[in-house]
Amino acid sequence: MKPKTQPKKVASKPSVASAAAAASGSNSSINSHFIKDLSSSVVNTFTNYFKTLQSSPKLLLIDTFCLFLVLLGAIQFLFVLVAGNFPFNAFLSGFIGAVGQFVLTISLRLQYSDANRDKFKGITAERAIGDYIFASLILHFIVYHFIN
Amino acid sequence: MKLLRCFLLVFIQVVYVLASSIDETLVLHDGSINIENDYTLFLQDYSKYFKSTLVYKNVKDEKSLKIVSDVNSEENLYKNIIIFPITGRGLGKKLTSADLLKFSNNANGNIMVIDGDKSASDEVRVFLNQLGIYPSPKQYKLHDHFNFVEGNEAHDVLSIPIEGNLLDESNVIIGETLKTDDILYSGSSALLSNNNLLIPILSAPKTSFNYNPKKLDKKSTEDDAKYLNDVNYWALGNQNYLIVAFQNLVNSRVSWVGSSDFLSDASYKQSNYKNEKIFNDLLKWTFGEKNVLRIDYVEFFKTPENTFNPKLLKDTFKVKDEVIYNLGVSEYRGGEWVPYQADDIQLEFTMLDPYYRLNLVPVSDDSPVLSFNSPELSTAEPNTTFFSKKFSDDVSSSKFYSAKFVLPDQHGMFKYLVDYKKSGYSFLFSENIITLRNLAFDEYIKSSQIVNSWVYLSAIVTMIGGWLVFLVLFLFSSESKKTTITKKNN
Repeated sequence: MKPKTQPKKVASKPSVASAAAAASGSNSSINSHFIKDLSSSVVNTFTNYFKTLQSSPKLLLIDTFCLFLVLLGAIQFLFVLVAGNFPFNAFLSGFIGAVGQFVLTISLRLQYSDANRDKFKGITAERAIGDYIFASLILHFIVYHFIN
Repeated sequence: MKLLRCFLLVFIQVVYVLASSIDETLVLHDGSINIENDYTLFLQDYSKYFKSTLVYKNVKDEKSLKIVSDVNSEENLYKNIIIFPITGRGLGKKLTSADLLKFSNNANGNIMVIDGDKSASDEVRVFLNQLGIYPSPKQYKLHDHFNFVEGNEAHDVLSIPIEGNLLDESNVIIGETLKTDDILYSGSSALLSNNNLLIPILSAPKTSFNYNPKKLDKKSTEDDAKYLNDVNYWALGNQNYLIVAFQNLVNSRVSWVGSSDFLSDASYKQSNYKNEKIFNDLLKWTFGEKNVLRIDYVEFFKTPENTFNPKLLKDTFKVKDEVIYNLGVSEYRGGEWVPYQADDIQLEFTMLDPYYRLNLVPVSDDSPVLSFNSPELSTAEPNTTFFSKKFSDDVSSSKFYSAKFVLPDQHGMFKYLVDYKKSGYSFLFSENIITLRNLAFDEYIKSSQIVNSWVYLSAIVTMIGGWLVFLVLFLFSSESKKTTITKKNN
């Protein structure tokens, strides 16, 4: 995800700078240029991202699950800010559970993705999934015991 | 034969010690004043308050007077001691200041020292000096050119106003007196050290001074003021103390009066002076007839929710337990034990430092505070968290004090400590050591019982459930080129 978005953002920056240099003195024109560039780069990023997912729907599944985990972690974090950290161990187990599952799922995505096939040569997709399940079960076990 | 005589001697001594009842009051004198004729009113008062035989001993005649037992000096052979002015240096052949100190260091070793401008016993003086009382030497006398009695040429018989000179302002030792009253005084005075256990009762007026008139006669050409600039005075103004009380750490009391004339019949009979009133109060205080406090009972326990849970009956105190501490205190006054009223008795809960220092609150008799006489407590079996001890059989006279608090969040060996030292009252001390333990692993509150943690618990359940759904979808979704590749590999 990130390696793809970064070049786009880097590319958009010189255009902003040049626009600022060209239309010197007019702030509104700089802002409108900047917003236009930014929106176009974001749109580009997302279209590229969804284009890559077309070929592998499983990656879409992984990403959806990751988004779900991020939301889960964010909700807990907001709650601890609002309601105080009294059952701190319960918060820690809930939050670390979400974060840990997210990290494990991202690892699965890296090992599973076609783009990284040559980087994980010794690791087959089955091995990756097996590792993922095993590590997740350990995580769930620890999280359960950390509640109390 | 020699051995037999030795044994006999020891036997006689033992019999002598046993025979001398400790109900006797020793009156030490040296025959220089006529005690039985001039002090009848004082002695009558004494007999009225204390049922004790007076034993007169002339120090000049006594060769082997003993006031403490031979073995370790731990037992007093007399109940009280009254020392009248003794003009000689010694105090009998055997009696020393050390004996007086030992007597005083035993429980209830009360001594009253009546001094005067003619007394000079070194033994008594050394004893007083050890307490921090420094009486003026022989022949030194208190003078005042403003407060003397009419017709007194030497200005050494003084009419001292109570107002401004009575230092016992809260009437702890000396009861209520009129501010306009005077007392008749003629005698010596003392300087005091800063010993905390001393309780000065009466100081001399500001205009008084203590000097030796016999020395002045030799320098009669000089006037008073010039003379007083010299070193020949003992003390000036209200540096002089006329009546001083002292109570040591085992609650034995000593009082010192600077004049035997103060309590003579002649002074007592003069109705415009309050000598008898003040001296009676001093007498009562010194010999333990008033301001004597007693702890009747001490008890502490967890509050009923904890204490009467049968599962926890054998339990120890644990952190954050709520406990109740009860204390019964009574005071001996006017020949009987009465409830002692105060709002300054403090309870400390200490482990090296006090974790709590609480005022014990006086509780009325019909209060709902639990005590050993409550029906639910009377059936409770004594255990480590339920302590109740009576120190006297009759607790009906005691004032009930109580404190309720939550034990600190700190485990260790703690003690409940009451160390009540109020000037003029006998000191109270009570300490009870307890063990305060941590919570056991299953005594903490469960997360499931805390409403806030339901958010996190549901998040965990959602996470694991979501993971299972994800896994099922991931493993069993087809139409992927990935799966076809892996199948090839297999």
